[in-house]
Amino acid sequence: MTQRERWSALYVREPRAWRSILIALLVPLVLGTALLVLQSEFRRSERLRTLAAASYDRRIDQILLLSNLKGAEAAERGYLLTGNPDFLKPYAPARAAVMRQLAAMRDHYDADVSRDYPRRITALVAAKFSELDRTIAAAERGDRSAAVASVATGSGKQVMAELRRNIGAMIDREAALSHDRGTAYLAQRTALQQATVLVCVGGIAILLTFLFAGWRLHRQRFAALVEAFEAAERNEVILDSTIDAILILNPSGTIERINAAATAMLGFASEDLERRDIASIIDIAPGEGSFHKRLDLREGQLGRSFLADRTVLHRDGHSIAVDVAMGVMSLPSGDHIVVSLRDISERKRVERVKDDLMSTVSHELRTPLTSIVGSLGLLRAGSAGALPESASRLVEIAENNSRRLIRLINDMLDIDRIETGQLHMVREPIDLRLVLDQACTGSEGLARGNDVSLDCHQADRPVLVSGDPDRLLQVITNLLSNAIRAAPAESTVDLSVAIDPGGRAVVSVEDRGSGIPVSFRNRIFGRFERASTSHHSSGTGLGLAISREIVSRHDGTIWFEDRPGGGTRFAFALPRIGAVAEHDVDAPRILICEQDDATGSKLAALVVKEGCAYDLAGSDAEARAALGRGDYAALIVDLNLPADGGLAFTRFARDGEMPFRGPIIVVSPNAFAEGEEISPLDMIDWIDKAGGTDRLSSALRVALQRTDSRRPLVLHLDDDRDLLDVVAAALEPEVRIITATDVVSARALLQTTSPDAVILDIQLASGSGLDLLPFLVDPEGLAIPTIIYSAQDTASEIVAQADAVLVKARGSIPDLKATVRRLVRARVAREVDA
Amino acid sequence: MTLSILYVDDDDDIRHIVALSLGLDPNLSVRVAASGREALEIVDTGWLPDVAILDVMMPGMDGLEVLEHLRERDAAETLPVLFMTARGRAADVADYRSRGAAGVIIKPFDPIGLAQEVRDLLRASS
Repeated sequence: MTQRERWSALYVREPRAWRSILIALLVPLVLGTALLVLQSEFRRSERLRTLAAASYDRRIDQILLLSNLKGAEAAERGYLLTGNPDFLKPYAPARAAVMRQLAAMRDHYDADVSRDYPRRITALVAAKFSELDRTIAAAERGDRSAAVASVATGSGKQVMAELRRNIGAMIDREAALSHDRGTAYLAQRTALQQATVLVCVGGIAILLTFLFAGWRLHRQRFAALVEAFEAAERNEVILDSTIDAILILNPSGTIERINAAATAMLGFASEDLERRDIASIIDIAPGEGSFHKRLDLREGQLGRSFLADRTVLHRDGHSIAVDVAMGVMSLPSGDHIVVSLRDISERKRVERVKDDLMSTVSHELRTPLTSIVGSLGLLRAGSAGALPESASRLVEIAENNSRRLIRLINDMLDIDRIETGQLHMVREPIDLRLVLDQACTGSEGLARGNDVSLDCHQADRPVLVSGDPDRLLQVITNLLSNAIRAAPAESTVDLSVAIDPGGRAVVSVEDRGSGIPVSFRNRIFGRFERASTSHHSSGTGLGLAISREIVSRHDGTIWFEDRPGGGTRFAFALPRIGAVAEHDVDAPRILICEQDDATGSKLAALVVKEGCAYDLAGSDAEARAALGRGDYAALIVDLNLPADGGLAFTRFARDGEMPFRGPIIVVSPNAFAEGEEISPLDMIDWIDKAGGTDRLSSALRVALQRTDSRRPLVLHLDDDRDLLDVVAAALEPEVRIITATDVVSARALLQTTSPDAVILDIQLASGSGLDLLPFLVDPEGLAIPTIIYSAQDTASEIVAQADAVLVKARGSIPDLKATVRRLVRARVAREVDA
Repeated sequence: MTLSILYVDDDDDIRHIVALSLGLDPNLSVRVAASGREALEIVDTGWLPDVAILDVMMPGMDGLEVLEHLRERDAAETLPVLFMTARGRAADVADYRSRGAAGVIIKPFDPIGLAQEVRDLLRASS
């Protein structure tokens, strides 16, 4: 998981305010609602209880009313029967109590009982007390018989019976009401109790949840704090105990933090350096623009994370050599850069000492070896007189071993150069056949000494590669030396060069030895590795390691395989230059008339470098025959051409039956001499063989320019300005080049011009060059020929959209040139046809 | 055509071997000097070789200084000079050539082929 992904995962868990607000609103809302419901239920319950109690009270009131009425009647009867006025004493209080009860009943019953009842009771009570009052009054007057007659009418008894029935019914009604309301009240109270318990439990649960969440949050926070503290402590200790100086820079390139090693290395206290720009002590991001842009920081990735051999400024002003490693720390506040500086002063000192030592050792060893090898060589050559055979053998042993020592020194120096990156190579277009010739000649002595014959199988035509001839000779010589030593006596070692199906040049060396032991095969290209066979004992064990490096630096590959029929085949393959032009029937073809193979190869290399095809003619006759057969864009003629000389051939070319009208370039062993009659022959240049190759290249370009009446226009889109210059230099003056470094400016150019071909780089800093493809249409609506020229392999679906695809590599310019020429010519031909 | 050579080297053994090696070619005549100073004295006496071969590392006056002194003399202004050195890195060779050497012979050399190597270098430089 990348740092950015880790941060994204963390960011998802960041506390959100809306969640907390939602919870803070919802919890009181739920609890408040529950409390309101409870309160309302409480009120309802209280009302039920009050109603039940009222029914009960009314029942008691009715009972008391009846009792008081009975008391009043009993007092009247007692007085009537006995005549004793004492019996009348309870009568008045009972009457008053009944009156109060009636008044209360009227008030109380108004609400929920029929209004008839109190009126009816009041009327009955009034009738009753009227009868009682009348009876008592008669008795008090002494009219006993009138009193008895009043009672005897039975009206009082009837009223009383009516009262009893009414009051009894009311008592029963109130009893039933009281019972119903009491039951409802009890049921309501039970439900209320349960709801209260539920609300309380809910409230407690919420409270507990909050308490638990709070506790867990606290615990997590504590754990996070502990973790953060541990991480900070760990980082602090790592930061301060590391021996590299570490500086942490904020997104604008200001120093935020330095470690103890930085203080020790730079002499600055942390507070002196913090908040200062990094450029004040070391320039890790040169150029214009923002700090991140200068660092080429994109999508959290640095364009270059390691800068070798830079200098950082010490507080006292002296410079310290450092290697710089950088990393990106993606923080919420932006991408911070961690810069680690490693002091390489000591390493550089040791390297200097080692270089001096290597140089000295090399010199000091070579000087005495020069004497030893020289003396032994002279002895063997008989310069001190003929040696007896036994002495001659000893001298030979001593000389061979001295030479082995020289090889070892040379190989060790090469290995050192490889390790220190100082193995410099000067690559130029060369014919591998010449290198093979040299290698064969150079190894003949060794082959003879081992009683092995050497067969060199050359290709018919020059095999041109971009290479360092000395280094490639070293590789072939090393392979030959190994093969000769591995070959049994009286066997043959074959050296050959050929073109493989992929168009690469393959150099092979085959021996008929016992092959390479299986256990040794995976180590064979390692350093100081030698097979344990006696044949190989005189090697240094470094040759194949050096060869592999050299081949690799030529963009090639080296390998070995079993030779059919026994022995081993070592081979290496190199990219060939001129392969495109060779198969392009439209490429300008140049006739090279040169007798010397080596010079012919050099001229061929130059021709191919210009993206042209060529034919070689080694004599005047061959040249005349070739001229009759081919349609050449130009001729390059050696003045020393056998048999009649180049000048004669040139005259023939100009004045023959089918005069050649194209340009002729003359190559001469001598500089142009005054008085040479060449003007009628219309030669465009006269080139001294010893002169530089640049002269011939420019002459060839002028010659090719002459053959084109109209210079086609090519648009080249690439963000590498150096490459734009290189390609422009290579393609002009044959074509006119317009350049663009991004798709937007390329589109702007397309609005005002219509190029004959477009060269596209896919990977641009500002996007994909493929975005231009939809706009590559000329005013007639035809697609403009497009060449994808990119550093990486191109996907097949993209290849289908282009007319040609080339990979940027050393030596690819001639192929590009030939491809441009082919596409432009095809387009011009179409236009002519149209 | 006989070619006269002045060979300058402080190492007695190598001087001897070079003289013998070049002597294998009957068309070469060799004169040796043990130091740059001695070489300049020889030239100053009026004897000018067809080519001078100078060891690069010599005490007192090294081969490069000898070359500079030779160029100061009208007679030797265009004298072809070859260097002989055990330090045969490409950069060294390029450096010697840029300072006016017509060619560089790397030690250890092949004593049998030395004369031919000298002729080849001279031809290439002309």
